[in-house]
Amino acid sequence: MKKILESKNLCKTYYSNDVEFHALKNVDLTINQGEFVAIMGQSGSGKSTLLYTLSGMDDITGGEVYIKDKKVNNLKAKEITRIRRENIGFIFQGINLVSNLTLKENVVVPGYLATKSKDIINKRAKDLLSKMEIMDQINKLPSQVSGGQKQRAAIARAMINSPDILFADEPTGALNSSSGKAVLDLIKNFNEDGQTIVMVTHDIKSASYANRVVFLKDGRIEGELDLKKYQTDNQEKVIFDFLSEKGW
Amino acid sequence: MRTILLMVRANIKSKILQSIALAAVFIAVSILFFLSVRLFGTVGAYEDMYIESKTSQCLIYVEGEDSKDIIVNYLENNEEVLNINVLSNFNNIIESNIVQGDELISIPDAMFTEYSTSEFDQIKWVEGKTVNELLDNEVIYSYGKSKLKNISVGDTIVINTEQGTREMIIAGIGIDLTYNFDTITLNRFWTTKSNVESLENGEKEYSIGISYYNYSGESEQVILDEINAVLGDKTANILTVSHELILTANSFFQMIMGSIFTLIGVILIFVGLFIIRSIVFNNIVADSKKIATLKSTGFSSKNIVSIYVLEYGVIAFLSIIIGGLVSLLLSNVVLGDLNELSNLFGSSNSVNIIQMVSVLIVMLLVIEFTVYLAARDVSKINPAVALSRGEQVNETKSTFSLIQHKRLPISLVLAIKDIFYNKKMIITLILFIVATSFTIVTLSSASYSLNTQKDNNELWLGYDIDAKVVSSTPLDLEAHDNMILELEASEYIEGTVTVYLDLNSQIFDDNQEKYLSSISEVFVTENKEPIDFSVLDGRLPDNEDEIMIAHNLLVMLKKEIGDYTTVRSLGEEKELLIVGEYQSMANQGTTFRLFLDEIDDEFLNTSLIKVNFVEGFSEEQMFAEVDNLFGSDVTLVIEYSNASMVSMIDVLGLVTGGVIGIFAVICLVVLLNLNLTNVYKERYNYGIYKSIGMDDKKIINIYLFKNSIINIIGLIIGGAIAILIVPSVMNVITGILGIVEFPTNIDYLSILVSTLIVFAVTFINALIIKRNVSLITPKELLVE
Repeated sequence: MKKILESKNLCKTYYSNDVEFHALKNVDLTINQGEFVAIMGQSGSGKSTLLYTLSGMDDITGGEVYIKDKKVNNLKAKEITRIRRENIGFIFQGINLVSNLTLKENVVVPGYLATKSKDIINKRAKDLLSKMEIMDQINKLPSQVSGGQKQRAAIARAMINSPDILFADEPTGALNSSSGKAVLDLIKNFNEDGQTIVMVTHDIKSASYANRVVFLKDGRIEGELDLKKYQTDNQEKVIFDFLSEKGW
Repeated sequence: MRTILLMVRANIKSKILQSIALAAVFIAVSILFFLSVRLFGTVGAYEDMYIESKTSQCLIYVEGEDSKDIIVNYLENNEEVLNINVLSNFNNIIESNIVQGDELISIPDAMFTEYSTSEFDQIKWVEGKTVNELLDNEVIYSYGKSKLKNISVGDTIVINTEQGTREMIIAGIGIDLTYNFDTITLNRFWTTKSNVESLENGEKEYSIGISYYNYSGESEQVILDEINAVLGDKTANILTVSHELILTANSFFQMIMGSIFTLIGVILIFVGLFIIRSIVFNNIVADSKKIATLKSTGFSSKNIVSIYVLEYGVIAFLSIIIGGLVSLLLSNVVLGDLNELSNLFGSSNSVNIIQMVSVLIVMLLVIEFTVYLAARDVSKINPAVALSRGEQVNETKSTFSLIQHKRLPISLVLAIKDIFYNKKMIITLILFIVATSFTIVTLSSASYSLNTQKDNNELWLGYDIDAKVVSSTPLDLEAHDNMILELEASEYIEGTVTVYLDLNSQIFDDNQEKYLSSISEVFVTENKEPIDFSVLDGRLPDNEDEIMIAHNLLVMLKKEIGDYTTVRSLGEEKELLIVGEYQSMANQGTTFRLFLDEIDDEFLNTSLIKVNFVEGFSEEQMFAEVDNLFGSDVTLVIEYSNASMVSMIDVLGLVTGGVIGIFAVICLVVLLNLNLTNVYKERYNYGIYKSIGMDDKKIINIYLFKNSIINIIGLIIGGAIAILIVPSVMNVITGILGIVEFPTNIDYLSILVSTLIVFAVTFINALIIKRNVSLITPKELLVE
């Protein structure tokens, strides 16, 4: 399998009133193309920080991050912007749609930024929104649709430029169970089509959609679970047992 | 209460930058208010001083001992007269100039009066000698006029009289408490009795000052009519400056300055209140989510309102105190010349504590009331709604599609969409820019227009004239006519006119059924055309049975062209046909004009020959031509607009300059504040844009496009309103002076200044955003 994302000795330290807080401590992680990795851990374990630093949404204070073998930390602003635009897609827990743009407009903006052909982007947006089953809502503002519909639009936005890696930070955290399941099904579908996905979750059910689980504790990787090895209908139990063993 | 105080402290601490920005606005607005109040105070002090001083209310200048005795006897037996102040006076002066090196400063209508030794008509000493120290051949001059003409102690005044030339030294400067000589054209010099008497040759002249127990226009008119009656054929020996006339002259300054200050004040108060309201409202609205959180934890709407009232109260109180202190420092810098002017009025610049405390209380109440209204509205927010969306819900439908406008830059489309979405905030910004540009363009154009027209004699006098020609010897009718013939023969002189001003004229008011005091301007000219007499409506009189009336007087009389009116002028009563109306600032547009074929000998010596030279003829050439025609027997005196108007325009220039300067700074601070609030609000969106791969340049371009559109809309609306309104405002203001059709010039530089101010703010904010966006990661921008 081809390596698509790698971190070496990744560190992230926060400073507040001369007090240091080490959110990530020498994290080494490799993710291969087509993988669906769930990053799990308790609150404050550093899982969201890991996702933000891996995706270039946040700076790191030590170590290295590679996307497609290209070192992405310490890049110039212009280059990191290009990576955010072309190589990654990001789904936020808080959804983060631009409030004054319609769902469709929110989806096409990254596409317009990346390509000169707006017609191609409009067609891809239509296909994605159709796949998300929100075609009847696309001309509405985010404040006029439900949380599940907003998150589907956010997924379409993240996928508009066919990114190499789709990052998702608790994508179902703000949704009810049925909306959450639908969103996870959509993400899984993308993975089945070959999309690499890195998702942060604290929900075992959500993690069961992944094919690898990385467990983070106090800013360090405590263990990894390759779900592909377990051909069972009860993936959740496997994950639960793994987490229990690691001190969840 | 303790919880509320804790919340107030936390609020101020957490929003330290916003609190400082808000405090800066409060400070700036309070400086403006404090300075405005001091400005008004100056005019008020002026009024108190001249209206309430122990001065003669009416002045009668009389020639001859007999005439003086008749008037004094009559007045001594009149129960309405409180005091009579008889002083020796001399005004039979052909020409007078003040000499400063090679420079000659013309002093028109000069007179020399014995200084008063009674408690009435005292001179307030300013510099040089006091009256008691005066030697013969020394005089004291008016402080105001000395400032206007740049005359100082030690200068020499040279006068030409029938006896020859005399030189006197200006030994002192003082404020003439009889009445404000800066508002009239007369120039009175105070000197010793023996000095006045030494100037006389023949009949003695006196100034008789009259003070009334209870002044009324009617009772004064009765007294003056009776004086005319008892004088009989000696009436021609007197010149009366009635209290009514003095009051008009005194109120002249107050009226014009009052209207302009009121205009400035009204604009500033509205703009100031608008500024405070907008900022406070936007700041509180931006706190919607926090308010909702507090409500969800049990805070009542009343508690929330209390938090904001206290928070803004603390900031406002401290800011106003700082603003007050800064205004004290600034008043000597910004209003330095104005303070000098207030000294000119004799008022002191000492700080009025009551005035300052009153301003503080009023401002505090206004701010608190604004805060109360804004907080009350926002505190009613539904916690669930605010918390789920993080901001006030905006259900506005999308009106400008990003998809449809494929060819426009994405930043421009996003900027336009934002404008449609954040209508309230955008309207606030546009209104503020409208107010900014309107105020700056209006005040600058008013000042610029007046300055442009300062020397326009045709406008202010109501006829075009360059200079007057003064003979060193009295002229009989033949010599007078010969002089005119010689002048008109010159190829450099377009026209001549003989002018006599009858200050004792009256015109009958049919509505009140009584005569009103007025001034008649009597003209004798062969050819009226080169003099360009003002004609607002109708035509110039063709014969001695016709009259022209100034616009304001015509309105006052409720007469129209074609009506008949009765006037008393040049000692006669006549019924004349009104054939036209004109505008002139003489007597605030309440004069009338008669055109005669010739002037009686009786009035010849006090008449003036005025000339109009050909276009482009310089002053040096004018002097050379008159010298060429008459030699040293005749002097040319260049006609300048009257001192009071020049004084007012200069003061107005200072005031508007100061006000615009302060206002510009306030606009900068306020716009920065409004924009910063907007930037904080936008920060979250910038985070989203950055996370999806929008580069910093495009993000900043969204802001630049949005604010440029707002700026342009605001500037166009504000500028257009100002351009449309300024002429009408100017006509109203100058209409008080008698100029109802004022040629207003728009100060286009002020439009540039307004544009620079608003765009400077935009670019400063763009730099702030650049800093915010470039140095911060999307994660940090997305964190609230």
